[in-house]
Amino acid sequence: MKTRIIKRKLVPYAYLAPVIMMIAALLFLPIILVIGYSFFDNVLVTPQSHWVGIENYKIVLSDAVFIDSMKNTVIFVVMNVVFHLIIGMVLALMVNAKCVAGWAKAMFRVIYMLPWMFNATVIAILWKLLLNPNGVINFLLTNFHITGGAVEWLSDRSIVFWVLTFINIWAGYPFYMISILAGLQGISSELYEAAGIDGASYVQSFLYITLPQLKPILISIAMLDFIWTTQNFSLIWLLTAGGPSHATEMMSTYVYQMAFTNYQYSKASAAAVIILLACIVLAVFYVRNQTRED
Amino acid sequence: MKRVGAMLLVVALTACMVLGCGSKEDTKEASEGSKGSSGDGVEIEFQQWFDNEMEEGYLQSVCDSFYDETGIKVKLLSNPYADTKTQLQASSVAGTMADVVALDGSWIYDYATQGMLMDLNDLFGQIGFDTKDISVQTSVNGTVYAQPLVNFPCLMAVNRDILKDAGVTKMPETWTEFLDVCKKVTKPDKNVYGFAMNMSTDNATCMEYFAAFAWNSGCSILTEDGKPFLAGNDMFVKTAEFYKSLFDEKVVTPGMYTMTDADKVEEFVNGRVAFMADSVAHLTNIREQAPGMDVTYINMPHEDSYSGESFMRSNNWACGIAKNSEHPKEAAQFIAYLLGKDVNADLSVHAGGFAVNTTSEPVYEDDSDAFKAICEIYKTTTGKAEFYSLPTAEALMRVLDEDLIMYIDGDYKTADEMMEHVQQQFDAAYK
Repeated sequence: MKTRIIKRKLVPYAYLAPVIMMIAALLFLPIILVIGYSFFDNVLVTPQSHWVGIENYKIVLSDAVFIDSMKNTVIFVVMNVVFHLIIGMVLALMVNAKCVAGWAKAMFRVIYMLPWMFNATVIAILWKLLLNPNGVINFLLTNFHITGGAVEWLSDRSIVFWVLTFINIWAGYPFYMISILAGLQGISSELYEAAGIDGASYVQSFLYITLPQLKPILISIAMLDFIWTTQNFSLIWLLTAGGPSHATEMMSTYVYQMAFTNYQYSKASAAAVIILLACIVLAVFYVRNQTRED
Repeated sequence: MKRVGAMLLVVALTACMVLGCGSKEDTKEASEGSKGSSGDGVEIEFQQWFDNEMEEGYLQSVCDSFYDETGIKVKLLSNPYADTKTQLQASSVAGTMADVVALDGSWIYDYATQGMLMDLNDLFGQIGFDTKDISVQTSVNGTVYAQPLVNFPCLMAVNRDILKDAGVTKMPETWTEFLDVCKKVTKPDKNVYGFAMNMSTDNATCMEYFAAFAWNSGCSILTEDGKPFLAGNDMFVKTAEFYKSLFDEKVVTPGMYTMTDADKVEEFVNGRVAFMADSVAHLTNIREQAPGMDVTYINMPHEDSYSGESFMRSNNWACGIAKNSEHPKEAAQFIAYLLGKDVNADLSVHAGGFAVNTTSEPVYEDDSDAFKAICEIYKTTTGKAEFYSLPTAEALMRVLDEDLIMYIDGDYKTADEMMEHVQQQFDAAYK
C-alpha cells in the first residue's frame, strides 16, 4: 500500500524529469557558471583563477565606457518601448477600424507585419543599403533639396544612435501591432455601444474602454520588449559594431567586446550579471502581472 | 498499460538526453571505433576559413592528397572568418579545439599566452621537418606557435580609370602627392572620392592599414624591447595628422567610420573611389565584380622626406596546433605537407597570395598588370605586422581606431594628445 502511494507520488516527477534536466543543463548551469566567473580574477583563459569578490563589478561599474553603454541602453530601450507602443497602437487601431474594407485590412496587416518577418541580418543589410551615403535615402533627400549633401547616417556620431534607435523601432513595432490588434478584437462591441448611448466621444471611449481593456496586454508586451531590447546585440553589431567611437555602444556589445576581444571573461561575466539583474527585475514584474491576470 | 508505456517513453527520452550530453571523448571513441573497423588510420580536424575563400573543393583535394600520401585523414571544419575566432575561443574553453586551427595574426599572442597552442618547432623537430626554407614563423616569447602558409601583402588598390579621367598620369608616392591626387579625383557631385579604408570596429585590424602609412615611412610602433611606442613617436603622430588631413580636405569616401571590409570593396568596384587600402586577397573579387575596371596596386605612400627602405603591411593565413590535440605529430605532419615546395606553391596560387616556402615556384596564370605590380612590390618591400606582437592586439587596435575617429572629429586638440591616451591604453594591456 505504502509503496503504491510513493510510486503514485513519484510518477509526476518522473514525467517532469527530462524537462527539469534540460532546464538545469541549458538554463541554470550556464547562469550559475557566469555568476561564479564574475567573482574570479579571470577564468577560462588562465589555468589558475583566484577569488576576487566583487572586484570585477567595481572595475566594470567604474569603466566610463560601461557607464556610457548603460546610459545608451536605457535610452535605447525606453525609446523603443515607447515608440513601439505608440506606433503599434495607432496601426492596430487603423487596421481594426470599421470604416476600412476587409481586403484593405488584410493587405495592410501583411504590409505592416513585414519588418517582423525579417531577421536581424536582413534588416541590417536592408538599412545599410538604404542609408549608404550613396543610397536611396540620400539620393531622394539630395534630389528634393532637403539636405545639402550626402548624410553619413551610420558614421556621424551625432546622429548614429538615433538612426539605430529608429531602425530598431521599425523592426519591432509589428509585434505590438498584432498583440494589440488581438486585444482590440477581444473587446466587446457592447461596451462601445453603451458608451455611445451615454454620449461618450471617440477619445473618451479610447481612454475609458480601449486602454483599460488592453492594459494587461500592453503591460505584458512592454515587459517583454524591455527584456528583448536590453539584450539586443545582432542588429547593433551588424550595423555599427558599437561605433563609431562608442557612439552606439550598448551593454550587450560591451560584454561581447570584453569577452571575445579583450579576453576578460570575468569582467564580461560581471557586466552580463548586471544585465541579468536588470532583466530579472523586469521579469519579476512581468510574472507578477501575469499571475495577477490569472 | 498506458501509464507503463508513458513511463517507458520518459525513461527512453531521459536516456537519450544523458547519452546526447556525453563528452567529446565518447564521440571520438565511437568514431575511432568505426574508423578502426574500416581499417583507416588517424583522423585530424582542421578548423579554418580558407576553404570559403578558395575555389570550391580545392582544400579538400589537398587533404585527400595528404591522405593518399600518409594515410592520415583530415576533416575540414570550415567557417567564415568572422565566426572562426569565436568558435576557437569557445572550443578551447571546452577542450574540444580542432587539431589544426587557422590563426589570424592578431589572435596568436593571446592564444599562445593562454596556453591554447603547442610549440610548433618542437613538433617539427619530432617529425624531422626542417624549416630552413620557410621564410616566416610567428613566435611569442621565443616560441613558435603559428606557421604562416600564405602571405598576403596589403597595399593600395588603384582605379586607374578614375585617375585617367582626372588627367593623373603619375602614381603618388608621398603623402603630399597622394593628397594632391585625391583632391584632383574627388568629385562629390559624381560620387567619386579619393580614398577609402574600412574603419568599422567590427574588425579593428583595419588600423594596420593606417599604420602602414607610417611603416612605409620608416616608422616602428615598437620599442627595441617590443613594447608599444606611440606617444612621442614623431612619425606616427605625423601619420595621424596626415590621415586627418584626408578627412579635412573631404577626399575620403563618406561613411568611412563604420565602413566594413566588404563595404569598402563595394565602393571600389562600383567606381566610386580611386584608392583603397586593401589586402591583395580581394583582387579576384574586384575582377569578378568589376571586370572592365583598370586596376593596379601601389604601396602605401610615405612621408615626403623619407627615402629609406620600403615597408608594407603583411598579412597571412597561418595555422597552429591545439594544445588539446590527441594527434599533435600527425597535425604537424599536415602543416609540414602544406609547407612543401609544390603544395605551398599550388596553395599560394589558389589563395591568390605568396608562398612562404622560399623554394616554391608558384605558376600564376594571372599575367595582368595588377598582379605584376603586386609581385614587383612584394619582391622589393619588407612586410610588417607590428601589432601582432601585442597582447589583446585586436582590442588595442580598436582603441586606436576609436581615438583616431575622435581626433579627426576634433575631440582631441592635437595628435600628440590623442597618442598619449592611446599609449596609456596600450600600456595598460601589459599590467
